[in-house]
Amino acid sequence: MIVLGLALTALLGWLSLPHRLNLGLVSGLALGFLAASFGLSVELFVFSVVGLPLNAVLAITPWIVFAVWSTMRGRPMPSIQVTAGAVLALGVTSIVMALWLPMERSMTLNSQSWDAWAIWLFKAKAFYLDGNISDYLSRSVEFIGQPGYPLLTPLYSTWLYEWSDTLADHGAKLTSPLYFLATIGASWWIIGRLAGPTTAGITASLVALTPMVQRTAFDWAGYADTALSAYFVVAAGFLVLWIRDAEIIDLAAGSLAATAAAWTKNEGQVFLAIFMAIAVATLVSRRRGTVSWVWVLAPPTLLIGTWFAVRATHGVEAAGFVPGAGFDLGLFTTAAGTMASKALSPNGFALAFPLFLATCSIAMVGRVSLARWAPSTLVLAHIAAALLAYSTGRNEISWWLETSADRVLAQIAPLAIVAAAAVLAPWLETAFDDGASATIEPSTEKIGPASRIRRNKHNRDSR
Amino acid sequence: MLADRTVAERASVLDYPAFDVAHEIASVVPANDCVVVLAYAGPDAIAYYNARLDYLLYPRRVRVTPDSEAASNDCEYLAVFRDTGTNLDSSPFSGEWNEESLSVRLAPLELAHQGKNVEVYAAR
Repeated sequence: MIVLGLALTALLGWLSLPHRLNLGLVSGLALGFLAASFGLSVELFVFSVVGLPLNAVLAITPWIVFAVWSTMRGRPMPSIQVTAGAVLALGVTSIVMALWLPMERSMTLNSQSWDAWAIWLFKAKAFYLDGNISDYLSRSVEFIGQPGYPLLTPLYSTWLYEWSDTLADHGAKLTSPLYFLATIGASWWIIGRLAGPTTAGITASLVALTPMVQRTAFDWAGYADTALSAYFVVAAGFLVLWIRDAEIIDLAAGSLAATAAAWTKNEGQVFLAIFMAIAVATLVSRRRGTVSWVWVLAPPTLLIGTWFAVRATHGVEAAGFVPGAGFDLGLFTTAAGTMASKALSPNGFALAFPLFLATCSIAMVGRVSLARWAPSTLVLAHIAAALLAYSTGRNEISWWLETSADRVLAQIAPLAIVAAAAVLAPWLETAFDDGASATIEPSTEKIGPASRIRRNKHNRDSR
Repeated sequence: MLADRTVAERASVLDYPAFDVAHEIASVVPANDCVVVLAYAGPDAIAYYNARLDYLLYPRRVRVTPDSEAASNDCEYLAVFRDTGTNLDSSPFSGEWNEESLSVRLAPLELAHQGKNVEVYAAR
């Protein structure tokens, strides 16, 4: 039943997403899983706040209704277009999944997966057994863990437990590999729209082949880091598409994904703040209307604001830090050295960060539109925020770096690859003759959905 | 090897002895009750067992302590857990443990479960 629940999440999510996004099968399932797992977790949160039971059927019903309605309005069947990029990405992903498949057989919550059971899936279990989120939050001082962390991963796992009517925590760990696949699928689709199928295939393959991203998804399954990296890619991708194309649907999707990131981990809240700063700067400079402002401000305010209020009413402290407070230069230097060493290790992150740094250097001397800089800005802000956190000395620095630096970098590594592809897209398009956008676009260019879809007709999955 | 085992068997192998101990305690202590676990275990292990038993025994209230004379805080159940030799070798016991006073303390209680690594007592 857990596997059915996971499959339904991806399928209903895909069928509920707007037709005009022009999603193929692979990208549809990837973005659909991200959308619906986020949506279901928010629904359970709302149920708990208003006093409804955490009922899985009640939560999935709107998705079923909307998917049926959306499909009846005439969803085009996904076309099968085999491109070199698609073959490359699917082949690489299949090999990676096959290599990690034996891991699934040992996916119990054992001593090796501390955060999975002490933090993320503990909450999922408690919410499932209690039938609400309040009982656990009221008792949170009893437990070693992070009660102030946000709730996407726990509440989506609670939905899976409710759906299967069993506390199958090994099944909930399967969400991590699925978020990994969703990250690959999202990277593929985003770069497909920004560049073309060959560039998209190479980008998706690089994401799939990053060792520490794989390890985070499989070895540390049950943590929230893989989900976070997926929402980072989607939020940054839609942000750059919105700045380029000025389509409100891209802004809405980006804002929802950034909110999902903030609903997943505290690091996502820093990401959301930078995302909003870029979006607001764009809104101001281009004098966008009220609807755009609403899409930037409403999702985070409604969801994250309510979560902060609920947390405060239960006396649960946020596990964050004030930027700059307690800053220690020695700790900063130590953290920066360790992070750089890990980021540039071929065994850890392969080409992700060297490629990112190289493209940042190229972009600084080349003519790259501001839109294409947005993902890179988010990557740099994420790393800077992590360094500031390490510099506060809230934990013993060696232990802290040893237990978290790899995961912090793994959260952002897929976006670093996507950011590099976004910067290089104009050159790669020419090199591979992908034809998605034949020229380096002006950053204020406005392109209607019909022409954009025409432009991207090659980008649907093989899709 | 793991592929041939059930999920519970895999958990037992990979999380020995916490998984088995938790299930033994859960078989005796009702879900809405509490238990104090007097643990003859090393300091690192105490932190681990506190977190692990919280997870495995939720919603029961659990406190793991290396002090054999720790107050029971009105808990109806008391468990005495002795860690495995291998674990004690890597993290030696450093708490307060007095077998004589522990025997006196346990005498009026009812032995509800006798396991390999854990005994669970209930107030009569």
